[in-house]
Amino acid sequence: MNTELRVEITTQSGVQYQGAATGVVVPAALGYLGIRPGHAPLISSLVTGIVTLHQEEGDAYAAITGGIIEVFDDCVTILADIAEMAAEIDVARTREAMRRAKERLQAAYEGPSVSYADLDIDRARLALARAVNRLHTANKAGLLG
Amino acid sequence: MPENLRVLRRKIRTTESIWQITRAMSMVSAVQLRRVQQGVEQRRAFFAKLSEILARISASDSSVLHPYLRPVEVEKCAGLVVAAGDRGLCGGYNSSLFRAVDQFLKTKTCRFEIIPVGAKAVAQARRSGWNVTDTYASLRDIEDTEKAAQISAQIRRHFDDGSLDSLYVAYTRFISTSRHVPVIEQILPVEPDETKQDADLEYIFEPDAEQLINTVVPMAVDAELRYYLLQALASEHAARMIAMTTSSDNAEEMRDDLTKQLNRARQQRITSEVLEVITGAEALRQT
Repeated sequence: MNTELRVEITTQSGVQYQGAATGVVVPAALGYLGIRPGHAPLISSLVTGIVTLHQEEGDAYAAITGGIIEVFDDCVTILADIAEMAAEIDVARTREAMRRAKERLQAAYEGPSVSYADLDIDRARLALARAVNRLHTANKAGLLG
Repeated sequence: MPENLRVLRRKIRTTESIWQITRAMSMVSAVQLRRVQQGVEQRRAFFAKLSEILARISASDSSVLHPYLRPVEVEKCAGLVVAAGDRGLCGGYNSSLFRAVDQFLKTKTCRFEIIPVGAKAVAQARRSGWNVTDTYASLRDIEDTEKAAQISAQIRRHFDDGSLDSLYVAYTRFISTSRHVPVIEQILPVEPDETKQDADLEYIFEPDAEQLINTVVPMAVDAELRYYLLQALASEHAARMIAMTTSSDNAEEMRDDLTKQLNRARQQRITSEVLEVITGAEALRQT
């Protein structure tokens, strides 16, 4: 049996990561899911969260949103809507995005008529979740100092 | 003789402006091609992975769970998406696709509903009297993620409501800038990959199989359709770039030829005028 997993993280805008890992943890729909070599074939949907790649030289992290994961024959394929490796995260821009999302939410809640089904509120919430997730990922990778 | 010179000058001017237009068009196409080609290449990995997964799902026992994965029993009415260009001046790009479509339709006995994408496809559908279901007048929309999602959702709906038993796409596959071939591909129902048939393959699905397959399968079909239509668009730009480069080369050649002709005619005129003067002078001296 293999002792390594081949991991590929791909989005509509190209392959984000390709490499080997001894274990992978992904944000599956039912909670974080750990995968080791020899895992049974699996398909799951993914939510916003952090992908952790356990590697001999240390852990690598990626922030992802949505999509699916397939495990088959020690190949882990992550097809995400959005995916960024920790090193690629632009912390300043993410903070700015977070601030804007918070402002939008603040304005919506303090506004005269709050409609919780409002599309803009939903979008702001999702944007905030993504920004927070990116910052968490960057923090895990030790990029925030 | 002066008549002739004026005609030649006018011809040179015309070829020169043709050359300017075709050269500009080829340059514009080159830029657009680069952009679309990048999109095609970026999506290639995503599409390849997704269709791999789809092939494995459809070869496994879980294939009964989704209508897109069930083989057709009787093909009574099929859909054909014809993705041609929005504009002409691109060599044989549109006509060779239409020829392939005509040939394909001849080999099939069932009824066909055509879904033309791109202005030229819409025009061709009207001309050939195809049964048209929906029309999408702009192939370029496929570059926009939201519009592309709308288009493929609408196309899939005809399959979902049972009015179509299968769905094909006719598009021009983009192999390289100089090679693009019209092909027709079946996208629905998804054909199981026989080579990957594996009786033991039992996926674990999370949260549950039905829900997941309902997300993955349409997602894969959308990605496939979009990938094909993007290739059609890339091929259109490539075909136009080649056609316009060839015609601007031709225009240049023609201009050179005409200039040569003009020079020769002008020299001839001068020579004959000089000869006339000389003979005149000679005649005067002798008297």
